[in-house]
Amino acid sequence: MKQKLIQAALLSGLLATGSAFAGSPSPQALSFTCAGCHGFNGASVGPASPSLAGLPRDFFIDAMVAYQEGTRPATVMDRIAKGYTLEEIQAMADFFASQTYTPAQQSYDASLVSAGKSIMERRRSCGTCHEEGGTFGIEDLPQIAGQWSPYIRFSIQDFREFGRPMSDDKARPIEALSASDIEAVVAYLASKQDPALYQHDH
Amino acid sequence: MIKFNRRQFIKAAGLTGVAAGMPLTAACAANHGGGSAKGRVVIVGGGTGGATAARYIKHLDPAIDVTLIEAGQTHHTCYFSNLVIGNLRTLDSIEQRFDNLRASGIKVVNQKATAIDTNAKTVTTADGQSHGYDRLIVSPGIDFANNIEGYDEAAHEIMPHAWKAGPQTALLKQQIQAMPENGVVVIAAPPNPFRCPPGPYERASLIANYCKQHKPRAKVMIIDAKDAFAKQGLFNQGWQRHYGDMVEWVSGANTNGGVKRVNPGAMTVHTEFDDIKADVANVIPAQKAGRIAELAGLTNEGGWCPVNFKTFESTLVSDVHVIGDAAIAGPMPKSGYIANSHGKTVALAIVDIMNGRDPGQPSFLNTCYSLLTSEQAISVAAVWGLDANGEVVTKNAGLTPMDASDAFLAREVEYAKSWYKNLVSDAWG
Ligand SMILES: Cc1cc2nc3c(=O)[nH]c(=O)nc-3n(C[C@H](O)[C@H](O)[C@H](O)COP(=O)(O)OP(=O)(O)OC[C@H]3O[C@@H](n4cnc5c(N)ncnc54)[C@H](O)[C@@H]3O)c2cc1C
Ligand code: HEC
Repeated sequence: MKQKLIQAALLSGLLATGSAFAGSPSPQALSFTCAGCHGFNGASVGPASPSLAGLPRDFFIDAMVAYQEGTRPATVMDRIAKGYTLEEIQAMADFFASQTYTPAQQSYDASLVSAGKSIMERRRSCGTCHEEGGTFGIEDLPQIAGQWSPYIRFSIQDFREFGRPMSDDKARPIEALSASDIEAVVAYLASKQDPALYQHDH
Repeated sequence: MIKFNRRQFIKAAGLTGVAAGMPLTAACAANHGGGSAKGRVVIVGGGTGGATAARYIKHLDPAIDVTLIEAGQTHHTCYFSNLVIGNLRTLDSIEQRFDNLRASGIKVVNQKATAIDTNAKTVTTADGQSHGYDRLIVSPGIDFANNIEGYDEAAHEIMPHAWKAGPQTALLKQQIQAMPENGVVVIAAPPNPFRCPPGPYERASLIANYCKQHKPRAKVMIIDAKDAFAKQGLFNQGWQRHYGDMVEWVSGANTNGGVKRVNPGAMTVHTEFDDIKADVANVIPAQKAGRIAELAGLTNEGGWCPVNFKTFESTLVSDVHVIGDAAIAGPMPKSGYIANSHGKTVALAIVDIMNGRDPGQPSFLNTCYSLLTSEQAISVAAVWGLDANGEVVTKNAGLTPMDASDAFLAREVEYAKSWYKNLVSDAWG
């Protein structure tokens, strides 16, 4: 009985939300417009623009707000993010968080994978926060394995050269990477192409 | 078809205690002679707008019967056709097929629509078949207005417009490659409004990019009908930096409105003041909505289709929606990205209507990349919504900054390639 009441409340709540916010577009109406760069339901087919499907809600919101405020380097997302209210960003964050992460099917240098693995697993390196080979992020961090390789390279460059803010925990390992380390890490992350690797019970 | 407004629908759902959409499925099915379909949507034009609308309607509600009518067997996207002309991509790489849409349950009819009867609610195709609809979406792209004397169908084969991609694209590319080393390419740029505002200038850039390597003494001359154009500052900066005086732009003010007449036999183009001899003449005429929109009574005196921005339903004919280049869309440009955005808006609206819900508020986004060279691109991006009166309002808009670094402009090339790949896979599956 209690269950039924909650369900009824939810149903009428949903309908009521629809009319109360008649002025705001639905999460789908907002999120569908990103697909031309980020892929159908946020699963990018590459070769460079990142997938949004499965991004943690808070990471997504922080990213969009940082683009709006100009605190995160961007080629185009600063101009796009400024077109949305915080409520709209939250609605899109929920939409994309509920989509299934699809690891990129891309080529990589297989000879670098084991070197990349050791770099990730060094003490106080990337793997401290990007756990399980980068297929899982602690707190609100996203999975970085399976993301498109050019995007991983651009992101590392943003941290090192273009002033993307980072905590000390992040700065130390990122600044320690040599150019060949970066390529090894990129290859290792790209090698994680089986969707089953991303199913965790954390 | 039984129509519910929101209040009636909530009441019905409340009374019967059935979840959203359920009672209407039954009601509509009964109205269509017992078939399982909730309603029939016919779409004319399998380009970016039409393909997107078809895919998203089927995705949002598989019980709706969707028929896509496209004149060609395949569709070549106009976007990235300038890369084909500039020898950076093959024509095959911009060819889209309909197999994935078919596999998702959409009926694809590869026939030209020859007539639309908006009273009987049928579309007739060249093979004589008639296709009945409850809702029709028209996304036919553009046709040409006759603003240039002598530019008839035969002239298209000598002085290609290449403003519809396919054989015209191949012809222009082939002519540029065959011209003498010091050849003159004349681009006659059209008056507003036209599809892809930065298109002629990206084309000039990529022809110059090709000539710089293969025909360094060539010249690319843009004779414009207009006095200003999209991304003008950025293009000028790029041209100066990469091509020096190889690219020359002549403002409409200097010729009193650009090219007025052509003589294909003599390979000359004529403004009110000058006669110019070209080795390659790329003549882009003024534009209007695709012919079928005009035949169906969807166009106004200016040749374009007025619509309601919430649903893209024609303001002239009910139950017919017009999207993409053919629609008058306020400040939104005629671009592939926006045709894709319209396609989703109309899909959401029609699915709402066929499920007895009021259509929700739309949100629109556009981004157009233009390549300056094979290594550098620039972009424009904008977000729009509707105000309380249903008018389109700009939420934000911006260009690539002037003086951006090489690294920035190189990233834009990588993201432009991603834009292409994701956009076509969003539309055609
Ligand atoms: C050179 C060039 C470069 C461009 N670059 C960009 C770019 O970088 N970015 C961008 O966003 N946009 C770009 N565009 C614009 C973009 O191509 C168009 O805005 C977009 O294709 C519009 O989509 P649409 O659905 O309205 O029409 P289209 O995509 O043209 O589709 C119309 C379809 O309808 C079919 N059709 C027409 N009449 C009938 C009929 N009677 N029966 C059956 N089928 C019919 C046609 O065969 C065609 O397949 C460019 C355009 C050009 C010309
Ligand atoms: C024109 C292409 C384009 C469109 C459209 C676009 N994006 Fe992006 N997005 C990018 C690019 C490119 C980046 C990388 C940052 C940059 O260079 O601007 C990015 C990065 C992001 C990121 C950061 C992802 C991460 O893991 O670091 C988020 C979040 C994002 N976009 C959200 C959106 C949303 C939401 C929309 C739709 C409202 C959208 N984008 C539309 C191109 C686009």
